[in-house]
Amino acid sequence: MKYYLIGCQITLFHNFPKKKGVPHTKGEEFVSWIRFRGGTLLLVSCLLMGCFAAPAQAADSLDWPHWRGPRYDGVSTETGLIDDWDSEGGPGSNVLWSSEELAGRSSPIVMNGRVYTIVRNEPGTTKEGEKVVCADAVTGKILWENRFGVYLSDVPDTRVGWSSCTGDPATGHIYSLGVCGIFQCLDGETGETIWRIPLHERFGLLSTYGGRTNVPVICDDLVIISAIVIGWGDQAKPAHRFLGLNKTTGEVVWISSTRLLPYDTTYSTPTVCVLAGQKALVFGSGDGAVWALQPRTGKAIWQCRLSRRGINVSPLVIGNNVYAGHSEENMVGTTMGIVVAIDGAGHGDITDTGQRWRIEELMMGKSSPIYIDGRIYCVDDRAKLHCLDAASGEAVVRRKALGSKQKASPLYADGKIYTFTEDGRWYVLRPKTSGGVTVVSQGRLSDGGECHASPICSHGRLYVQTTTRMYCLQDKEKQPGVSDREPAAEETPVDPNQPVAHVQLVPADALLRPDEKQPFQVRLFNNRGQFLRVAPAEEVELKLAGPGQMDDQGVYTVSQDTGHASATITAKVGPLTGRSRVRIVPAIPWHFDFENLKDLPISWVGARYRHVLRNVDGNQVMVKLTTIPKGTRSRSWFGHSDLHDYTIQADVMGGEKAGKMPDIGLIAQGYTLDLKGAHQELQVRSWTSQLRIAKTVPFTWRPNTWYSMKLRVVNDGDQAVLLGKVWLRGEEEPDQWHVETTDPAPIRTGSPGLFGNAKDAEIVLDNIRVTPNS
Amino acid sequence: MSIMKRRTAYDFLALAVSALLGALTVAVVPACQRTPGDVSEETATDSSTADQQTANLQTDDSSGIDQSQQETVWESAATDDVSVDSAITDVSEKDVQSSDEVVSPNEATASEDLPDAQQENSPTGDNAVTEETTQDIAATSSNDESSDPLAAVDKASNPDIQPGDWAQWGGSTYRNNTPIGTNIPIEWSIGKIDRRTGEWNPTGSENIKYVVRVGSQTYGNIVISKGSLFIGTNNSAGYLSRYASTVDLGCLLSFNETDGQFLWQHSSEKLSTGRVHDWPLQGICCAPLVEEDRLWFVSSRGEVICLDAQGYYDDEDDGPVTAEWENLLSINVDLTKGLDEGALHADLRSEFARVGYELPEQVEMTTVEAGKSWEMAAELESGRRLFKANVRGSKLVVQFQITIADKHEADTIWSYDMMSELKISQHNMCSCSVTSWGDILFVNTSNGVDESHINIPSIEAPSFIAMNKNTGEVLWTDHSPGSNILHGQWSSPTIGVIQGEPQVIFAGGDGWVYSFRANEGENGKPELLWKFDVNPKVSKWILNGRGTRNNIIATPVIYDGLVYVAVGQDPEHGQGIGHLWCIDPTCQGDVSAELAVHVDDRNQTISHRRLIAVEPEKGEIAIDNPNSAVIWHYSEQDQNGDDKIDFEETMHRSCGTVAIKNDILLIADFSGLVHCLHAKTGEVHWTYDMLAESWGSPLIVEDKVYVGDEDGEVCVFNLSIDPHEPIAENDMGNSVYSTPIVANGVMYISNKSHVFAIQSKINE
Repeated sequence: MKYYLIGCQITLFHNFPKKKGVPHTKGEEFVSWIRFRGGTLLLVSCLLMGCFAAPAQAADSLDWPHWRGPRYDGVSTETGLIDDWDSEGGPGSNVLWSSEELAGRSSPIVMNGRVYTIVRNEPGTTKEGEKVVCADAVTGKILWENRFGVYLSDVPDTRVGWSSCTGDPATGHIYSLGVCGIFQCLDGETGETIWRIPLHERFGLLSTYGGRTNVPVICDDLVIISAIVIGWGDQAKPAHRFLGLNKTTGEVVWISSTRLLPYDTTYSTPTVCVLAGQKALVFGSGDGAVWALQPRTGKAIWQCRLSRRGINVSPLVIGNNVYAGHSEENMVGTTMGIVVAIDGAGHGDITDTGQRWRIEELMMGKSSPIYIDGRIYCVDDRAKLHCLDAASGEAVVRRKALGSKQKASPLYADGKIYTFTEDGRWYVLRPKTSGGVTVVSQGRLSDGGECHASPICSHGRLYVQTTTRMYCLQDKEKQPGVSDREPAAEETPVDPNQPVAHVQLVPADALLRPDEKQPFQVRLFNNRGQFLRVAPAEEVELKLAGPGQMDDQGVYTVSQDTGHASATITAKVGPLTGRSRVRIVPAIPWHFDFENLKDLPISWVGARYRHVLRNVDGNQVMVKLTTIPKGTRSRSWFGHSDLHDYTIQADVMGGEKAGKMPDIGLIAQGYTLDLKGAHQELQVRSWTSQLRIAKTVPFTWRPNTWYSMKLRVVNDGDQAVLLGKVWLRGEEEPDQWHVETTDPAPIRTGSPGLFGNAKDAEIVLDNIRVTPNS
Repeated sequence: MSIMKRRTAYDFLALAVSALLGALTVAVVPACQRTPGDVSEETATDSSTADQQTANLQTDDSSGIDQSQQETVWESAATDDVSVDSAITDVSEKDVQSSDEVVSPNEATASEDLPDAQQENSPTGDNAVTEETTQDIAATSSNDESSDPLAAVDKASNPDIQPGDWAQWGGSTYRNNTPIGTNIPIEWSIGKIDRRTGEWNPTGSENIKYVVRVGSQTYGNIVISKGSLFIGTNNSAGYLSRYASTVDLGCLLSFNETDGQFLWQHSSEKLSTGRVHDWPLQGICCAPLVEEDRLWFVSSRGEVICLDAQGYYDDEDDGPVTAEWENLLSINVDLTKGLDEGALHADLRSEFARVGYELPEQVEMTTVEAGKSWEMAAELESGRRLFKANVRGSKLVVQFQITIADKHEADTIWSYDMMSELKISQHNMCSCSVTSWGDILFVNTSNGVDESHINIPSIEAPSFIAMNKNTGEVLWTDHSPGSNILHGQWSSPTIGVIQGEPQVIFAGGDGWVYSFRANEGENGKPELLWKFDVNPKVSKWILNGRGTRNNIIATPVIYDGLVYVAVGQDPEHGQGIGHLWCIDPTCQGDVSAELAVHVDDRNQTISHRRLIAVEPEKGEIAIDNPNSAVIWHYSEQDQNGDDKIDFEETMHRSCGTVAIKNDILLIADFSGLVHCLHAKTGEVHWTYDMLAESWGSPLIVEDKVYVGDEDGEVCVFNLSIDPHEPIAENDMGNSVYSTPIVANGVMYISNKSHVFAIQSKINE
């Protein structure tokens, strides 16, 4: 068996096997977790770690496992690709196949002879959700689908399937992030879920109407994903945060945050690259800056502030040059839009020092550029192609009009640029040595399809997803081949004797139950973010702040009687420290009356900062504030996502301001019971904007009056049954449910939580109870 | 001039052929004007309105319209469709008559010096209408009014446009962007703009009178009145020292018309609820209405505001709202040190100085609440000035009381908060460009959905209101769109005199056009005259613009007694399928093209439903409305007769309004197509693909048409029915989302960041 060594990076730490166990990839020698045992580390297991991941075949260089390509730059070395095609299909059209089932808005990927994409599942029905679809790359025949729900989200159904899948050639796994925050690791061959984390419930990922959803990237043993996250404890204020997860287990290795309170969500996919010998993750952030992070530690290398709003374009990295852009307000002056070349070898805040050139008012806000022979080709938001001198930024020729709107990034392959405008115009262009392009062919999609996705190519075939179908294009007359290309820049090799610059305590964030054990591992990195070694126990001083015990093997045990709490663990190695945050949530039943508390339970996600505790007539209650900028309508979650078949009940009171009342919601198992103020209605639903199974009944209720609300969810065979009622607090609970519905595409498990819309008036809550059904 | 883009003027068949096509496919007599017997057998159909109209005309022998007559009319429409404006002289007499009944708000009398220049400049001399022809038309209309398809046309109802100011969106309550100007440049060059400072360097510029810096996003259209220029924008230009340019505000700016000098700014701080109500960095999105020394507009905070158009330059603080308190500083709470003891921290003094208030040694301090709240008074050059300082969270917020010395501030007359008073919840932005009739101000409230894009938080809140323009008192409210609002409501009202009666026409967020009697109403309610559904009944609303149902962002336009409006959506929703309607406003009641009924009970119309009005699977169908007011409808026309509807043969969504002159109608859409149609028949003369989206409306002045686009170019066309490429393309530096206007011989065009006053040397 051939093992694929993941660079020089050594993996692993691993949880004690949990109840569910961790599925292994087949045929693999599973290496056990590392312990601190008697102060000696099993270094030998470390050496084996590299093999942990996979029995993988060597990565196929003609695969396209990431939407921007193997080198994140939209460039392929393949030759023998089409010069022209006809979207009507038929003989001579160069359409190998087209599939309406694979229509959507995200760029596909190709790996191991299969094409993968994310699309809507059963659109327009009561069962609608999202799915990852795998098809045969040569025939388009669908091989498997992995379906999952969209819930607790404002995203419209038409923006489902926003993000692209990412393949890991080392393991054959597929990673996908659904629009509502379901993050998955799938078996690329079978489509089975290896692990799944609802990032909204677990970390507070914000899923908005805008739908912007990020694309995962792989670096060594990590899968890295980001979103605007409204977390727990000291992360209760929103930020564009990155999570580095163990790609095999989903365990949190690091969390890193850009500036707090960003103006926007973002979907800028990070580019994994090497800058001045240092491995880097370069991306545009919701905070308006382009950042470079060390992908193995999450530590910031540099940031360059470009925009007063968020950045969505994925940066292009060529050598040490980072080409980025946006179409929002610039930091200075009244202009919007920029294309900029950043010196990627810098450190710290390079806003003023790191910009080699900048072309303002070039609105490159969606489509990423490509680099061809010393020139940058970029398509602005209005589908105008620009050709810039990469060294100076100067326009080589005047812009060329391709259409009126652009989302997709161009592909450069076989000496040609392939590009699609949003309104369905396509071009095959050949760059001219004098600058600019010659049109090889052009046309318009014949079926009215729009194109949000970028074209990709693999094994002589071009793939493009439109809103009406996916096309696979191949010119069978041509001989596919491969051209040479300079190898990608390499990292400065690791010297194990280098000084330690970073201490990583893994897991960085965990959600535990009382009595549960959590092993920790301390990993040491040099200043370039390269792994040096696992710290031997004698080198580490572990400190626990919070309930429970830390043993000398680095295993944390939660006390049996721990309530809703948190703990912080710090690992000191010499002058350096690493830190982990742990939430502890006991099994239900729960009762929160907020008495004797100073703040909301720390283990709640998205709750502090947007809510406060207040003493009303000697009774401590929870209040959702009307004054948090952009935070007056939000969701929060209490704990584990594997809970099911439970009931949530709370005493609630809505305020009134200028005749307006709030909306008050309880969340159970992914469903919301919403007591609507302005509408005087009671609604139970799954998906805010799709309302696929929602049931709404008129319900008159008054401001400044206490009510009791109850939501029960029951898994019943193939369905989930949702039951809700509201009554005046203190009066006898009515026997009847006021609103009932069943979900034929059930959300099987989910954390209890709250929804609240306090834009107009405050929401007061007390006596929140979560109890098992029956 | 060089045309760099690859552009395609869409070639059509010969004019005669297209005229014939037009005659075959376009209805001109609204059903509501036909006698009952004329109404065709109602036939169930799920095809589009256009198809129904077509089917009706083509197959309905009992239509009662004499075929030969129809052809005659068509012939005259086809051959005499240009420069019918000469009829204006013919009409002036009528105009005088009707002005007995209806007092034009401008009190303008029919002018004897109506611009002959228009005729001289008529685009295609060979198409100019002879006096004889004009008389023929007049004769037809008086001889047989009942069968004249254009009997409804009330030329007398056009506004009396004079050379001069351009004091509201669309220039008049009729909203037809056809000002009068002479020697307006076709080509100009903006010179250079420093991208960091925004400063204009006139070197190399041509035909530019001056350039004014505004914010970074400018959607409010320019208004010129009494020597001032007004424009809505954001705060990126940072004209007030109390607000750094990085503070996000909605700004209404006033400049000197002559030289572009900054005069004053009205500032609207952002609502804390965020983008659902007040989209970041989009500023004030409407154009104000100015009459004499008063100005009205809707702020980004959902307020209707009346200002003194002269600000404090008249050295008066006009009321009832006087001595306004405004935010001056929001600074670190540490600077409260010493305030309780009556001492000002040196850093606090320098903060005052930074925003233009150099405090003297002596400052009278009053502690209202120790550690929390203070009042200050000081003698400054501008007189005795009052300040309040309050701790709010981690900030010390200082306010100042405005005096007439604060020339750069706005003088508020009254302000009405629609969010608190009417409980409206605007979606993303309030954007209504208000208009008035007599003392009545008409406002679309912009009430809409919330973040979920499904839920309407304030269903009961009004969509359309009438106010006393002097006092701000609400006269009537109407919430007809109510629970059927699809997204937001961003259209502006239009007023025209129709058969002697002023109508105020609102486009609702439910995709209906509503017309009310433009008066004070009764018991707080207006009198509805007619309403019109712009969507085919079977069309469906799907979030994110994927559906076929649309709302209306454009402002309706009245021309020759007819109402014109195009459907649109948030530009982010894509170009979609569009419709352009010409409606006869003399009809009453539900004058939609179709009615929704159940197949088993066609006499009972189904009340309108928000997302889809007719669900065929429930046995519901759309039938032709015998009371339809449709003159014509344009969505697609197979111009080249290849039995396929090409991109260039399709009307897409638009938020632009039409501009019409000499019966030539121009409109641009989100796909970048400029459409030129016959205003009376809907016949398409030509389309042109600018390959760039257009959000604004065309300007027609003299015999030229100006259209701005998202690429920052202003294309200039001849006002001609012959297909042609632009005669000029002018680069404006960045996107032109606004509509070019002309006032007092100068053309004004704003891009996102600057206003350009464009004037030929002859006019200087």
